[in-house]
Amino acid sequence: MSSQTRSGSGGGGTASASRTCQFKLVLLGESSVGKSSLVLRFVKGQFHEFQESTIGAAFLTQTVQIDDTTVKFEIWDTAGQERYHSLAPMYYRGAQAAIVVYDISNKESFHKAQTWVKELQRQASPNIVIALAGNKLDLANKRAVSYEEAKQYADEHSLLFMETSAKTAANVMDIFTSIAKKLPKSDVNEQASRQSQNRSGVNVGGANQNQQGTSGCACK
Amino acid sequence: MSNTPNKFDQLSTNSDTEFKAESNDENFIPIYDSLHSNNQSPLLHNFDQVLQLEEDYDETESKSSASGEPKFVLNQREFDENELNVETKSDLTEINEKNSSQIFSDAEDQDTQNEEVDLPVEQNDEWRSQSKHVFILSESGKPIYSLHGNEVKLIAFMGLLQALMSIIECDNENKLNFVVAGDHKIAFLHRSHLILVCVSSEPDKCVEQLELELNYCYNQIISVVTLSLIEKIFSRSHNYDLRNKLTGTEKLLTNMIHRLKSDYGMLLNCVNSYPLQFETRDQVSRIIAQQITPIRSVLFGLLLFDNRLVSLIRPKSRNIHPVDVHLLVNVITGFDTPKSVEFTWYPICLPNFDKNGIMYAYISHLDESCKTCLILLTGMCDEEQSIELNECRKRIQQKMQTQNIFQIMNLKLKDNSLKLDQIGVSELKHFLFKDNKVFQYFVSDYGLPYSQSLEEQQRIFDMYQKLYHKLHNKTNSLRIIYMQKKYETILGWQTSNFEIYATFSPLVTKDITINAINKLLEFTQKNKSKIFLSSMPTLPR
Repeated sequence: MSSQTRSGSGGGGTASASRTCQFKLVLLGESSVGKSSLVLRFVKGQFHEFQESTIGAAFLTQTVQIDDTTVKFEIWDTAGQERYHSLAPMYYRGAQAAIVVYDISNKESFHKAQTWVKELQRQASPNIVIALAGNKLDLANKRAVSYEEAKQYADEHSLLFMETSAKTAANVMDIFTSIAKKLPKSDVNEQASRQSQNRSGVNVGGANQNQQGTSGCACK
Repeated sequence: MSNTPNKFDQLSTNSDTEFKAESNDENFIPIYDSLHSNNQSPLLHNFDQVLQLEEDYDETESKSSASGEPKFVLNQREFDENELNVETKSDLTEINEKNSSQIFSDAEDQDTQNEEVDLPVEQNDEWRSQSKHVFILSESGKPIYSLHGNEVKLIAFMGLLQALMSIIECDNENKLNFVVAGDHKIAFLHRSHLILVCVSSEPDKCVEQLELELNYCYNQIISVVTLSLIEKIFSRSHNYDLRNKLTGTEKLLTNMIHRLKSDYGMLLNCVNSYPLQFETRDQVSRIIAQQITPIRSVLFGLLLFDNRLVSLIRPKSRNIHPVDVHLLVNVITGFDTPKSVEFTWYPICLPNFDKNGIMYAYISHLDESCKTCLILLTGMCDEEQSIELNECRKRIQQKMQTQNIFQIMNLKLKDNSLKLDQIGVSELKHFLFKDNKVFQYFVSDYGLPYSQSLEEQQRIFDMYQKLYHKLHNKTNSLRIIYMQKKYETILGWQTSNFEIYATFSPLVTKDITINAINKLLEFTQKNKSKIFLSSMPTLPR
């Protein structure tokens, strides 16, 4: 596969019978809300009670079939720790979809999710599909965020919303497929052109210059 | 004492007399003046108990009497109580002046305070019985890390460490290196706003080793936050809680300390290389070099097998320091990444390459068993870059597969040509060879009875460690150390080209050892191309 096709992640080859689309999806949210667990459930159908915390960002891929379209997700599972926050734009820039995750038994994580949504709506690409996932549905007896409250918030900000459980697999597949369904599968060219603009804007300067830039942004 | 500079805010403003008041204590116990400065003192939180107590007094006293005067009564009363305390316990002190604005308390007193109310970690038997502790704190005494126990609960203890350090170093001329107290050795390392302390009761650990370990811990922290960021943060606010920048990486420190227990590479300041036929290694290196050369931003390419270096591709003019390689390996061994993750994109600072800059590490496992690991280091943070590297990794993986390299590498684990018995001296039980030119080492397998017991192997490690520090002691210029001990005879030999550490059976004669060492040198010379990485292709950067 040439790098051009890849970077134009808005869509791949559009063969007549079945199309293949490729989308970049990023997971955001406070640490230990279950981002990696959600992805692992989605990609591998596995769940580990003691999932290790993610370092930096992990990259995974998974393909789903929506009607006659094969949707390939390129998933960036980011680390939730605050110190990685300043790196997040690198991952959601150019992303077609984002899942903002919170833990239904942790009110604070819901607030954090809201700030992520705000940041995405302000800074990510304007037609990004954002889904809000209230994870750890299996801990419903320790619930701190009501379904109604989250649902209302999601509606006001036009987000997809589901309560999920990576442990029981509840709604995990669904949230990814709903995103896949909502993603526009036509505007390949526009996506690709914007992507290339983005890239040229970033790649200026040698390695050294970039190094400085990044250490600077990590300082925030 | 009175001309203490304001370097450390908690200790800055006590007057002479207050210090003298303390000096009749049996032990030298530093005082904290935690509330003197207007800054939020890190010790303050833990004085909650004390404060609480005072507020209670305040309330009851002021209820029962009129304003103004009762304050004085209160103070007087407190003071009396304290004096009583001194007589009975001889470990003062809690002096309260008006409006609880000034509290002087010593650490021991605080321990007893804690004991009554909250569970003090320091009093916990399990905690005390640990043979090794590592504490990291900021210059202002704010806890950053503790190997055992919650660092926040150890705030008082950290304060004590900070006070010890600052009392010795307050005149900027002295340096506190270590304290030996009975069976315990306490090593200190003070670097760029951080204080690192190792307390060890391990009989085989010398102070130099503890210092070496603290240096690794320091580098581990730098690799996460960078030196420039630490400088920036602490010059802006010296009370900053550095844990904010380290969350999630405490595990790396713990893993690092754990690895130091038995990693020869970390001891010898060497890269752990993986023995492989020269041809295979060359083949691997060529594949990697060929694929990463066109990607201009890649600075280093490392291929690891079993966490040991198989191949290292670097720019012509730059090299990678062994410590930096250990830091990278620490990331791989410290986190258990799920197999389904194609790669991890991890920002890291390599302190010996550029202690102020961040690089990005592309980390990916190439085989099912996750033994083979490819690391590509780049200066570009762009996520698109990582995707490009991912494509590059796929090509490398495919080429290695078609050339059967994974299989060959796996087979080498069972290779017999590098076994100890190839040397043919039965009295030689084990040896370690370090090449000072390439900063790599070779460690043999263990002869009987050492091969049977991990504890014995650990004992050998500890003996070599002592030998190493004896040979590298700056004040003594021993080149060869030969020691006939109870259970074995050990030998350490240092030249400008190599170092040898060897274990023989206890009753060996000098003639036999000399013979064995000669054979050993022959053996390593013969197998050099297999043991060590050499003449790797470089990147035209």
